[in-house]
Amino acid sequence: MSPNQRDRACGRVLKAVVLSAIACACVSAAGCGDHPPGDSAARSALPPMQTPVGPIPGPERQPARPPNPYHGERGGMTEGRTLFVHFNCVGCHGGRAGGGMGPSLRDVDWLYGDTDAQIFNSIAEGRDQGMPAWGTKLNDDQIWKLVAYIKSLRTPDEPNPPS
Amino acid sequence: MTRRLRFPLLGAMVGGAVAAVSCGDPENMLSPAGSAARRIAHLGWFVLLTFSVVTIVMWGLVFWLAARRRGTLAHHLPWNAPEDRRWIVIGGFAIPVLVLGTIFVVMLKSMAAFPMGDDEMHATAAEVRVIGHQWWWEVQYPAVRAQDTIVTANEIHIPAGRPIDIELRSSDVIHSFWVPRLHGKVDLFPGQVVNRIRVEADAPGRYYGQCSEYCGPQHAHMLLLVSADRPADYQAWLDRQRAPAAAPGQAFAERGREVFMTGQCALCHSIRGTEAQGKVGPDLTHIGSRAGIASNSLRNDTASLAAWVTHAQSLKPSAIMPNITAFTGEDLRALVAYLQGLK
Repeated sequence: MSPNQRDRACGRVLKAVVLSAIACACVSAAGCGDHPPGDSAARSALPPMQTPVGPIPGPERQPARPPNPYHGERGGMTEGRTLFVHFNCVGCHGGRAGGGMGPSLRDVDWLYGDTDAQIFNSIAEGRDQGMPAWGTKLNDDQIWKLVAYIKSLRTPDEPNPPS
Repeated sequence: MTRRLRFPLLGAMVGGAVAAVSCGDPENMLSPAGSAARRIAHLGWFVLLTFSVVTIVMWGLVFWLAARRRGTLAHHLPWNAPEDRRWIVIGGFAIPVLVLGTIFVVMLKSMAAFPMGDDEMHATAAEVRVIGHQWWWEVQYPAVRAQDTIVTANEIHIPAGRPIDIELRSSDVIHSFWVPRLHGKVDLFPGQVVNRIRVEADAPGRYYGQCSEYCGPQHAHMLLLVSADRPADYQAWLDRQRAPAAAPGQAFAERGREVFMTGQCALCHSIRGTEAQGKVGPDLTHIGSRAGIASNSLRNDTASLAAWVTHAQSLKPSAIMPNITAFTGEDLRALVAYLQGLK
């Protein structure tokens, strides 16, 4: 190898090293976002929704509802679980409400809001893209039991939780 | 490959190509069944033949050159000798301009034959409205009186020999309407955009189409049937479809009606003339008269109907139809009998 050739080879190696260093820097800069370390495996790639989109844009225009009579009541949650299976909510939302062809009810994302009244309205009036209006089939009492069951998901009170 | 095999194989390939073109299977754009599709097929054949000629000439030149060029550069003129430049001018410029220019003009002529402008297309109300859903086609025949409007799904009937305007919309994502034997593709857009397509079938027959814009995991199971009927049959079909659902004739089907109304079916599906007014899934008023279910991905028979009700998510995963398994066998059979009776 002549000195001239050696110089050229060294130059090529140096160029490759510099370029890969830049590439590494870019990748790590893109990779280290603002999420806390150690949390990435447990969470999906998308951040949780901060505000529900609601059925129509603008301020809330849903009927107001009284507080859930079964709030925090074990009996209501268990009956809600029975209704959840009996009326085939499991057909779309999954056997333990973890999602199937319909959205998961166990996760933190609530497109139409997660208050008792908002969940009641989602069940009673139906939502876009597949949720039928159950208000014609279920009475208010049954819907409140379903709401109680849905709110109990991921809490120690959940009846028949996934093992 | 032996020399003996070469000609039979070539013959089989040509024969296969001819058979594919001429056998007229339901989605073959090279066997057009309407004036619009014929114009597109003619253009396709013209372009195919032109490019075949160009390809054959170019390969001939390559082989000729390969066979002819021997020896060193000293025996040949350099590439940039003045007398060789005319090859670049003729072969690299004049001939491509001529060929591509001709194709461009022929294509413009074909396009000019279609109704293009909004004014022309929207001068009259469309007879049929098609709304794309993930993953099925809602079909409406709008009428002046709301109760005369026909709502059905996945199956369009048109009179043979008469152009029909179809209005295209989408409820969710972009779909594309393509019945290859009748016309080219036109997209269905969500929102305010309303497209139109004017189709005409020469003769009565069944023409299949398919969503041709990827619209999600079940895009391939979004088939559409266009049935071209004789004018009298078309009118009879319209009259039948306009009527509300007939009451079930026998006790078994009546039991099926009860299962439908008291179970979850009625929440998502409509059957005109009953209390079932769900708007989530396809209208089932005359489901028994349709050729297919699940957007024509299954035949409309007893086994498919029962399988679809209990295991839609296995047949068409993530379709909007859930698995509904909480039936007794007798109830399921009654339900299927009721649906089949909705002619």
